[in-house]
Amino acid sequence: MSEVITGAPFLELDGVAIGFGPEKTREDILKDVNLQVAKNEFVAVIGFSGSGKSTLVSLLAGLERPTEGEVRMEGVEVTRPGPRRGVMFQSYSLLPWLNVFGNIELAVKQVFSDFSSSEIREHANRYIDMVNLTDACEKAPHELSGGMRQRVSLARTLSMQPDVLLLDEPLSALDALTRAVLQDEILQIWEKEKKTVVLITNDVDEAILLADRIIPLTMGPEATLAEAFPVELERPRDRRTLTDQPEYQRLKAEITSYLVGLNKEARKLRSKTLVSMPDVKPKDFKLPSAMPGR
Amino acid sequence: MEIKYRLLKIIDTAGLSFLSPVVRLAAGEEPRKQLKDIGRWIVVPVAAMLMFAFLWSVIAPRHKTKSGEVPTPAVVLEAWDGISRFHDNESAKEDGFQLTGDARLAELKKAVERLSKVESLEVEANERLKVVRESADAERLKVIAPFKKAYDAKSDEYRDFRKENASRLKEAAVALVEEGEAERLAYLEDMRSVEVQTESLKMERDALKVALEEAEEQTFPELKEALKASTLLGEEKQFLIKYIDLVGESSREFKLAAARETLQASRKEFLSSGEGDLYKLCGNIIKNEKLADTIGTSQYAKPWTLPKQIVRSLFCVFAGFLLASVIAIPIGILCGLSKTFMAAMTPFIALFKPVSPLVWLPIVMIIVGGFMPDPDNHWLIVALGKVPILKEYKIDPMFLSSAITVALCSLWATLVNTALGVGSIDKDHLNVARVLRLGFFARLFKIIIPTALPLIFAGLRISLGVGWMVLVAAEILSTSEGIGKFVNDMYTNGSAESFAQIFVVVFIVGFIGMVLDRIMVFLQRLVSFDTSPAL
Repeated sequence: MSEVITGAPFLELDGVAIGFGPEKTREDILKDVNLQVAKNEFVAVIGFSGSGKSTLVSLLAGLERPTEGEVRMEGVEVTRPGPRRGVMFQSYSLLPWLNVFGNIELAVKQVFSDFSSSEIREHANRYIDMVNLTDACEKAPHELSGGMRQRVSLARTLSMQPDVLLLDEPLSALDALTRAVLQDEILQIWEKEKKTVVLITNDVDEAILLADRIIPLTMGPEATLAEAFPVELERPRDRRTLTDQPEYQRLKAEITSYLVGLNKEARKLRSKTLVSMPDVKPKDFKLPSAMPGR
Repeated sequence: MEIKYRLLKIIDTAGLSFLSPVVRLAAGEEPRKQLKDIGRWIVVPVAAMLMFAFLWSVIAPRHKTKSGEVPTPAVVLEAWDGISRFHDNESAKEDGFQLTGDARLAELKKAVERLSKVESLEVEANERLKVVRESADAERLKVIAPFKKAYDAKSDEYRDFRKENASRLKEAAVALVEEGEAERLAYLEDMRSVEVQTESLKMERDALKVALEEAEEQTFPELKEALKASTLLGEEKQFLIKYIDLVGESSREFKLAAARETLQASRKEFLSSGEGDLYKLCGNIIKNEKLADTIGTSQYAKPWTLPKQIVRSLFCVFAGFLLASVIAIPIGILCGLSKTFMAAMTPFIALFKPVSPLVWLPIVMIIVGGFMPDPDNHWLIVALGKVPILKEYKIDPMFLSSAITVALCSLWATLVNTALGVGSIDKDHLNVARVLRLGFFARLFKIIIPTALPLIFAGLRISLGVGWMVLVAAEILSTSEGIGKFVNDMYTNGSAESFAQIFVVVFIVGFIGMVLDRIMVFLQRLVSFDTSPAL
């Protein structure tokens, strides 16, 4: 990675590889992965499903150990998971027998073990309020919509006051409208709280809207991180005006075509029975001017 | 509307979903559909039960046993009455024995009045019985007359034929001495044919006898009725006589008063006597004081009635169930947590699960017996004998053996289900626990057990069902008090009525088992966190 980062890296992947199976026949899911995240930086990792994105989060969180290389946080090797690296899972992973408050209380109680019961209550309620769920405080997870469940999950992760937020495709199971609302909420909260965030996503718009830097993950097996796309759009960002900016459109087109290229390459790699397509290229690599910003 | 949904929720949680169309119909919701559902879930089952009762009452009387006919539903209902009458009478005696003062006298008066009424009723009933019996006998004679005539005729014919031929052949034999071989052979042939004819006559006679006996067995409903009325009154009379005694001269109050009087007398004699053995007189006072104390706390020796046996059986099954849960849940959790432990337990589960309670019981009885060579003074029995309600139910080594047998047979379902529940925990939930760095016990009690709870309860439900089935068998074999003892007593008794009472027990055991199962379903639904109905 030739990306220049000002300041020491806060979270770091150094030559990381992970694979499963016995030593000799091991198939690496991720290989030679290098990533440096600065403090309070919002990094989005974008890739196709099945490319090993969730494994990347597990590595960062310490839920899994790399077979090669090291994961470091503030220069110290990460050997096990902990509340300093809060993970928000795609599947919400709420405890179904606890209500909204109970789910958050469990985390708060564990992380802030010196809190009194009223402090725990106050702390939990603050984060429930932050994700606008105060009215649903007493509801059980199965009584909530997918968007609300993911909000609970977000509140639980935030309530641990982690130094790093690891978001593993948090919104990909939601419908488009709910997703947009939650993206705005995450954006607002991040701008208020300023945390180091690694977001895993498969949505280019989402990545551009939220991140400072977008890093594509190549297709697996042996996936690795490709060249980063810095997002230099001004903050605070507003979804309504963002799409009109030429920079946004340029980024989106560039990243999309890069990803599409990845996909083609991968397909070629995977299956040799594919009919080879004629090697036809447009004369001009510039985007047609009529292409709308979608 | 609010009420409707609340009711529906209660019905669903209690597992009485057959009632929900009734509620919906009452709320006027899609009457056609609800009527169809009512038809299917209420009318059809009731019709099936009626059909069953009908077939039962038709088929049962055809089979004769040494305890009379197999009882029909009507007979079983009567047996139920008999059981509850016995229980009521014994309870009345128990209460009556302890009555004091005016209440006792009032009760005594009432009982005496009732007795005189019952006596006159009994006289009437016996007179009626006599009349009915005479007419029935006359009727029977009329019915059997042709059978009897035919039988008598055949019987005479048989006897005469035999006698005549015997004397004829004997006479012929005298003359045969001088005859040759051919004549002798003819004589042999003659005797043979006589024998064959005698044999066939005998068979004809026997067939007629069977027909006669069948005719004699003809029952007269009227006679049956009269007999029953007379028996019932006789029973009540016996009860009242005993009751009057218990409320009157054998009542605690009465006996206590008598004992106190004796005590007073002996005191007086000791204090004022100018002569005699003062040592002996003083000893009399002590003796009489003790006697009065004993009488003051005495109880009517109530025999075990079925309700009491049932309560004891319930205590026993719950003791076993509790023991099974205490053993099975922790082991099940360990099995779910550790594959190694599971591997260690698998042979035991596979080997001991299919073992019948009838094999466990003798082993358990011998082992428990070994711990308690003198059960009455063993600390455990003594301690259990002091527990307020339990002490009325004769907690003995047999009770413990039955409970342990129930536990041994029922713990497997809970164990396996708990292991399954713990083993099937969501990996994401475990990841949450890892990120939060929950300690072992926090992880166990906050993540693992709550996840496994619905399956644990499913296992407990199966265990309780198995335990209840096992218990009756264990009680029969261990001759421990309880439903099993009742069944065994009725079996040994062998009368037609006790045969019917065993049928009553079938329904009682079934009903209690059903209620226990419903309770477990209810608990299981309470601890289930998802909306999908548990079974």
